[in-house]
Amino acid sequence: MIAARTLAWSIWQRNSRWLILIAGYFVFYGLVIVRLNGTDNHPTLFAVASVFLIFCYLALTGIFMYQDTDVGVRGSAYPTHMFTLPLRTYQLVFVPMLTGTVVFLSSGLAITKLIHGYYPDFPVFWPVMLVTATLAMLQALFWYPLGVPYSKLVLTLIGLPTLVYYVCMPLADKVSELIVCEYLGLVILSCYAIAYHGVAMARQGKIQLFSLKPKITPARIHKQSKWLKFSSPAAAQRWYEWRQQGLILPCLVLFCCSIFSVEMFRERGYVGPVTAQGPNKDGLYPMVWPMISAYAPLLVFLVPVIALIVGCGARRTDIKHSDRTFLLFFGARPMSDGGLVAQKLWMALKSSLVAWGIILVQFMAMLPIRAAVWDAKTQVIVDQDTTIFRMLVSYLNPQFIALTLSFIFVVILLTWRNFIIGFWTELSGKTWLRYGYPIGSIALYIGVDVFLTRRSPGGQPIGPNFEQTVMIIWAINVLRAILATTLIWRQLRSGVLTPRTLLRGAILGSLLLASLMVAVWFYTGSNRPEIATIYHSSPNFAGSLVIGLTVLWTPIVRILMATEMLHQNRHRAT
Amino acid sequence: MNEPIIEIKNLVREFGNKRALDNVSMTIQPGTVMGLVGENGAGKTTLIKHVLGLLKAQQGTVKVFGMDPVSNPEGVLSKIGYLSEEGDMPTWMKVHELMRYSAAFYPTWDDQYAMKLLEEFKLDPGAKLSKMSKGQRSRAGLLVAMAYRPELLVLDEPSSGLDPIVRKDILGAIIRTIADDGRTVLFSSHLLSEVERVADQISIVRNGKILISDNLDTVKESHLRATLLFEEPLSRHPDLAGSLTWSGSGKEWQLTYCGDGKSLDAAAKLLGAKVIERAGLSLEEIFVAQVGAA
Repeated sequence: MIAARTLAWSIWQRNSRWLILIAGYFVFYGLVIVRLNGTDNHPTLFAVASVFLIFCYLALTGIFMYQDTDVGVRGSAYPTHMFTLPLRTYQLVFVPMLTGTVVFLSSGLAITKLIHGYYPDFPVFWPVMLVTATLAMLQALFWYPLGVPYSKLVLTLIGLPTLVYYVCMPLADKVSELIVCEYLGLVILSCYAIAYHGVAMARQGKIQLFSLKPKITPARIHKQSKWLKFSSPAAAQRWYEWRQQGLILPCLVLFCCSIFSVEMFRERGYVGPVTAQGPNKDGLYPMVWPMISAYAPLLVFLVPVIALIVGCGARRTDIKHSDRTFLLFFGARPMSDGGLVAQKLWMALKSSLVAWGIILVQFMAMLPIRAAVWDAKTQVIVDQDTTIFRMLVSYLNPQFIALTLSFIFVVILLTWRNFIIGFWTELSGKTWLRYGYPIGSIALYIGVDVFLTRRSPGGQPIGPNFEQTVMIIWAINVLRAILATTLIWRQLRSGVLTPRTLLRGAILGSLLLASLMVAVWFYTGSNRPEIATIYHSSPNFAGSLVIGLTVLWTPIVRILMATEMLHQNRHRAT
Repeated sequence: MNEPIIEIKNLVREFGNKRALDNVSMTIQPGTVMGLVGENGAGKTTLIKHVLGLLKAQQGTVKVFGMDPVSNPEGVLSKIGYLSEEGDMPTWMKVHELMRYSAAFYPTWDDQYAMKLLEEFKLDPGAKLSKMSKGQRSRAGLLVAMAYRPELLVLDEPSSGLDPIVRKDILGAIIRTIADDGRTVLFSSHLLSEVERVADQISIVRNGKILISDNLDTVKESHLRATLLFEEPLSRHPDLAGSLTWSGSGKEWQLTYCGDGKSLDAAAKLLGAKVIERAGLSLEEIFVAQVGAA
């Protein structure tokens, strides 16, 4: 009991702030459920509150995994300093595991019971057992001393979807919740056994190391040194950023694609017609396998979302945990602050391009897949033996190609913008800003949504009308322009920004903005009159809305803030 | 005289209520090996961070190669080789990647010399920094700090916690740097015997202030230990200008003294005592006396 108390106390001491915050959020979430009172009145509120609930469980998972090591680590991720404690191995393993299980089960059951009280269709037990099993699985995976680099990450990426799949499939097949819970209980017990075995091995220093790469000798280095040299310091820094932060987005996209690919090729039969792009020149619509119909748009949607999550801080940084300053290695690079930020922006662009390259390859793999053609006039399937490629060829015309290219251009820029969105908070070295920024942004969006859609007790909209909304957007753009000008002036004065860098940045930024404007203008061509009609406004206002939102969307202030924050933190000016 | 490599004037730095550097001034001429010594928290690392431009002067000025390291980090840092106790290197890199990456930043990077150091330090080029011992990581850091023959080598507690072999490598690196014409070294260390071996100037830092900054030989010549014999027994040691520490009782007292022998003789005579024994002090003894007295 003393061991249990000591370890539980150490978990509390290390994470008390987070645990209090999470407990507070659980109470808040409960109040949201009570406030909604079983209605569907505020779906956005419910969805956002639930997303934060997931974040809470992710944070709790990190706490009970003792996760403070690199996911690529080859040994056990169990903290080695704890091996010297005068405790038996089973105490080291089972106390944090049991504490985690109890916390997950008790908090989860309280939440699901509360939801179930208002929404009787909501299941009580299996979601709680699933998140508890997820925690146990991650503890076992990360504490086991596997000798292959990144094996923990790969096994997590395979193991978690498999676990979810083998819970959802039986439930879909009407298997009882009790049996599913029993199955998850067995998973949890197995994970306890694996974790115990792994930590026992790690405590004795047992680890089997594997390396498939050929040995690098000094002679080989010398031979390679000429042709492997970086062309410039900027190129070297781009490589550094790519290895440090750039790989995560393509890796996650690749993972999603691989999961979807497995599902996609399992399916047969057609759904449709797919009408988003309209009929082809012969008045025919395509029909595709259901998984393609569902996953292809989901994949396109997922890339910017993943970029947003990565951009908000889910990546390796150059900031030290101890005092939030830069690693000296990074801070002492002989490169200007502007140069360091520029390489980060290039890395983000490369990462976005590679992510979309993976999606492109995924879509190319779909081209030979069989599809059907549906005739809108006769309402029958006229051809069941075509392919997606042949079907797409029938659509090829200059406008379709231009629309597709515009779309690709916009989504790549959107991905890039989402990726760089959190650079300025990360570089500031301020923990409250880094975590507060995404939370504050979401709160702001909800606030704006509530403000714009306000209604009187009689149900009449009392928020700003369409024209007023457009003017508010332009007023925000003016404020942003003032802020950007102030930052530029400040950085020119302090030497952070040179006139040459400013000129180059201005030319590049203007070209990008102009291209984006053209793409968005072209893409929204048919929608602008519709918008004007819906809101009883003129097409000019609809055009202003499109341009205003595009300008609002550009991250110029964030880029300038990134340079400013890097300068402040790198030289700790205050 | 040449333009100084480092010129610090009236530098003040505060962290909250704590004054980490208090009106520090220092000049380092080209070709100098400056040893920076002081207790933990004395302000050595803070001073070095100002030289690297990683801290901006709140008051006073810092010039390195005649430039402000904050407004011109490229110009300053490209001439400096830097190794710290913390290491702080990206542990995901392999040694050969670290070399390739670092080489890009320094036009004077010497591949042949880098390979020579790689072999000399017995580093495995395919090894990941995270898998290396602290000593091996320090060697890797030293390699990339030396391979472009920097004009100024800055070492912040480089040998702290390392075994004698690695310490020897680091000392060897400093000596090699001295051997190259016009190179300058600024290094901080707790190991005063090492500082004494290679430094030709030292600065003793305490509570953010420079207690002494001078040529090592001058510092050693100006400190001595002496035994005074008084005519009458004393209950406590007398006040004597320049004395740093006292011990003893009755008629015979030992002191450490900052000043020359003649002035001690004169001062002792005035107190009714005579110097019956005197000896020079090692740097460690001078440091202990100075820091203990301050």
